[in-house]
Amino acid sequence: MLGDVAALAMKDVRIELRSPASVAGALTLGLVGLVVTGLAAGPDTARLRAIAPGLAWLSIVYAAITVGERLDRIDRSDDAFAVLWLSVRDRRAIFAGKIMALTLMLWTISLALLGTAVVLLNIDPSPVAVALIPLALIASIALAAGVVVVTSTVGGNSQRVLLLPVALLPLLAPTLLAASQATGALVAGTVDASLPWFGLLAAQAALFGGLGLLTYEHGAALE
Amino acid sequence: MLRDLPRTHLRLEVRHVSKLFGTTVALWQLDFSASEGQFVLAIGANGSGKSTFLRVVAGLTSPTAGAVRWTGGSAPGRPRIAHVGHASGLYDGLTPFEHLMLAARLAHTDPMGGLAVLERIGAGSVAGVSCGRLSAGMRRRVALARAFASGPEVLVLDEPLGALDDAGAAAVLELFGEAIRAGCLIIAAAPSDARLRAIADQTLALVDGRVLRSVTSPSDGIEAIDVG
Repeated sequence: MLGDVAALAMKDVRIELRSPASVAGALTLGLVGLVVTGLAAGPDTARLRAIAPGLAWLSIVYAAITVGERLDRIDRSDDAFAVLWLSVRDRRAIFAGKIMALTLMLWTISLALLGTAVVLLNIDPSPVAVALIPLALIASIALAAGVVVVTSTVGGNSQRVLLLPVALLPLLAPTLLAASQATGALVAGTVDASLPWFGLLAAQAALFGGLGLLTYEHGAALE
Repeated sequence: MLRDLPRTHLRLEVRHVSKLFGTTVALWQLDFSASEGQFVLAIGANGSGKSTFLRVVAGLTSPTAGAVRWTGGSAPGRPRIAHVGHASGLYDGLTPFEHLMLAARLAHTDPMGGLAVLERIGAGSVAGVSCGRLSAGMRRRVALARAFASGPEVLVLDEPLGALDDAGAAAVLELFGEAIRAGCLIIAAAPSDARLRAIADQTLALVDGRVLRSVTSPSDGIEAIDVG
């Protein structure tokens, strides 16, 4: 099954690399948001450090919804999803492949945005950067799993553009909170304070991922 | 030449299957059976339920009532099914070559088999072109080649010769013959196509979701039914 998961994830990554509309759009919006907020906040570095993690992760949550929605929409266009559905022996591979692809994209976006925030806030990157990399990975998995669970359930519903944010924002709020708090603790240099938030993110990733693996075959909307 | 499938006594039983979309009856009390190495053709006018029939058989749509049962096959409950619907099911951002590689990877089959089929049906020259740039006929050829690339036990095809020129249709019909001899069960639907009816072991005439008549030989006079 792992080979199938990797093949399906690479399919999504390849398509996105050839037409990086959603990743590039989300990245641009996040970077502009960080820079504009920095300019608006003025030279008050303490204030910036307080709001930058939340702002960066809000942009990443937005990216998770838009990129995840596009990945699902591409699968549903031209009935490609029907082909996938019949192609795999274990249909959970489709779910896991989608999480892997979205995680890779969100990890890239989050490292770019968090790296930009570190530079903008003039933070010594050496101790923080090492911890931000796994933090971004765990948070990306949690976000990707939550988004894929919901997009696969909503399916091709005509109201999906409205339904997805309404369903996803409350679901992803704890992930947003945990990632922001962990980032804030790392930026402040208190690594110990970030550990419980790491734990919460890992629990969310396991919860969403486990829920999806258990329900995907019956919950994925085909019609 | 397509590789022979291991004989597994694959059999399909469709019993009293009905499908409703709201109050619209798409299929009503459908009964038929088929076995490996057969070609089953559903004919009927637009809106007669052919596409729904194929999706129900393929397991892409659940019947509202009745049952679709598979016995035999390489795995219990669900044989390897490849479906080519009205839409090609291709990703615009991938090339035909990449589609064939993915299909072979997921089915654990030899990727060169799909490439050989692509060549035979006249689409080898576009193997490296993004599918978003292909014509409808080429997309249909690529979709069919991908279906063969997955080494299916069952091929479920909606208007398989649609959008194909005479040469392409002849190549595809030749492949169908080889697939049937190799043990594949083919279930296809088309408004009415003499070329497909000529090779069908069983033809179901659908009218408003009901099987008006079922014949087991191309010469059994199904022309008498007005299927549009």
